[in-house]
Amino acid sequence: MKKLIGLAGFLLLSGCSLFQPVVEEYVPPEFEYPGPDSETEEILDSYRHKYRMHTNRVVATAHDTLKFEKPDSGLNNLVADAIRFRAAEESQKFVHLGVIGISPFRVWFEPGKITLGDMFEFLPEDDHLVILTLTGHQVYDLVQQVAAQGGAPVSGARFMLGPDNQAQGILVNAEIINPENEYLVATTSRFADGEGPFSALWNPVRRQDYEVSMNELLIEHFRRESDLYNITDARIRS
Amino acid sequence: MISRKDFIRQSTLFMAGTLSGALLPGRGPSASESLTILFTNDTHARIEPFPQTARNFAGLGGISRRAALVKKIRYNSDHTLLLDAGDVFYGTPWFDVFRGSVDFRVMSSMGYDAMTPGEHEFKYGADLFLEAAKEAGFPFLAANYRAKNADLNSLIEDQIIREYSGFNVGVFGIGIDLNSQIENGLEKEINTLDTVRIARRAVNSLRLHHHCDYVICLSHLGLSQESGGIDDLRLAESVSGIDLIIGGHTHTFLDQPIEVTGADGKKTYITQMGHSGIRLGRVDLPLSDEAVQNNLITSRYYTIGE
Repeated sequence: MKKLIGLAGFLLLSGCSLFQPVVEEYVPPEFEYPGPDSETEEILDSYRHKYRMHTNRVVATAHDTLKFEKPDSGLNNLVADAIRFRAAEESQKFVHLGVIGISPFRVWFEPGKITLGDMFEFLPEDDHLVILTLTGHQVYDLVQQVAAQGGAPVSGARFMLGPDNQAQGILVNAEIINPENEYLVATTSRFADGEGPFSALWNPVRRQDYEVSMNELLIEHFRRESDLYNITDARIRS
Repeated sequence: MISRKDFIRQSTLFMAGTLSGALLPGRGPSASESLTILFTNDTHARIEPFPQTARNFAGLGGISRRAALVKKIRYNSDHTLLLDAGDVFYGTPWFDVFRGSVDFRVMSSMGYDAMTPGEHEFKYGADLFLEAAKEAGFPFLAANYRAKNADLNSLIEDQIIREYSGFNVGVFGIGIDLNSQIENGLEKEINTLDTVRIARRAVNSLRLHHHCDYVICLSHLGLSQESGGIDDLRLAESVSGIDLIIGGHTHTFLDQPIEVTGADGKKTYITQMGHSGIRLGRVDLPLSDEAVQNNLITSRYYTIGE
């Protein structure tokens, strides 16, 4: 109330010249946000049983906190491995790399059961699996772009993060990159279509899209792995 | 005996009068009533608040808290108009299980006056939208859509008109060009008409034939499109006579409305409230000739769950 009186006094003393057509309305300090609406809660309760029947099915168990981290983390590795392994299954070929940015992912996991509902929250977007054929030069650029982010989910590559986030000692499947070779790289439609920081993915030699939703792919991989730990294998060392 | 509601309203009016007297010299404490316009966009099935493990917006949002906030604001307002600028569908497990029907049912219970459909309302086919829309007790507005499907065509209306204390407020809807957004065949079934031409026609119709004093466009075009297509900014520049564009699609959090001055020198304000029901937007329009003619709005937003 003191602030309200102070504001009114200030406005009067200032000659009433402060009027703007659009102003941020004064918010009384005593404004309190109400809690949930009981009538709405009643409506939602009539749906919650069916909702839980669908979403409470357990997919896997997290034994550690699983977060995306830089330069890498157990969760980084899990999702990157998931797309590379599934890409290999779909194409029946050896896929050299899996790369994905973390921007589409919405939540992290606390230790405990991971449910189907958690997985829909984890990645709600309907991106699909893509395999790109890149030249050795493009793969080198891609790894440098991962390094420039300070690290990102990557599968099939190892490197040291040097000064100014430069990738050093790059190995792709335990071999140095051959600029003359072609490499298969698994990613998602979003990153292949031009979103995110990995421009090396945008002009591939070839592109193959698969009708495999990322959400479905990750649910299956988490189910298969079942017990999830925050284990890193020094893919990206700083 | 004075009721608690009347007491609060009179106290609020007195206080507002004190302040507006300071802001607008010569105006008395009870100069006019106000219209409170509340709005959301791109709520994307965010029925429950974001989980505490969310990378962004942890704990924010939630349709039940939004409903309580709307009730509280209504209680203290002369008149309210509650609008949504599209993309209610898709984004959480609630959509995967109930396909939008829960959202529309709760929005109806909250008293939404209208919404414009976003592309996500069409992404899963006409049947799914029509089924969910059975729960919607409010109209869907998109003046630039003409559907070949008769059921869809009758579902989608051009505009609504409301009267508050003698002032007519018209709301028309503008949807995004579905050809650039969906690939399920429905984009061929719904003809997206020339948006600027249709918007001009809607404004003329509302202003001249329906004698609207204030015109709101409920848009799902997006604030700004890099592709160069029509967006809210270009719409405001191209079409005279729109007072307020409540937008969606680009998930833009605008703390303040953007002011665009049209070729005729009149102002159009553009606003948008991000996504997922994290914010409830509010614009207040005093119902006086001066305020309505000169578009003298005030604005603010509420962060739900803060």
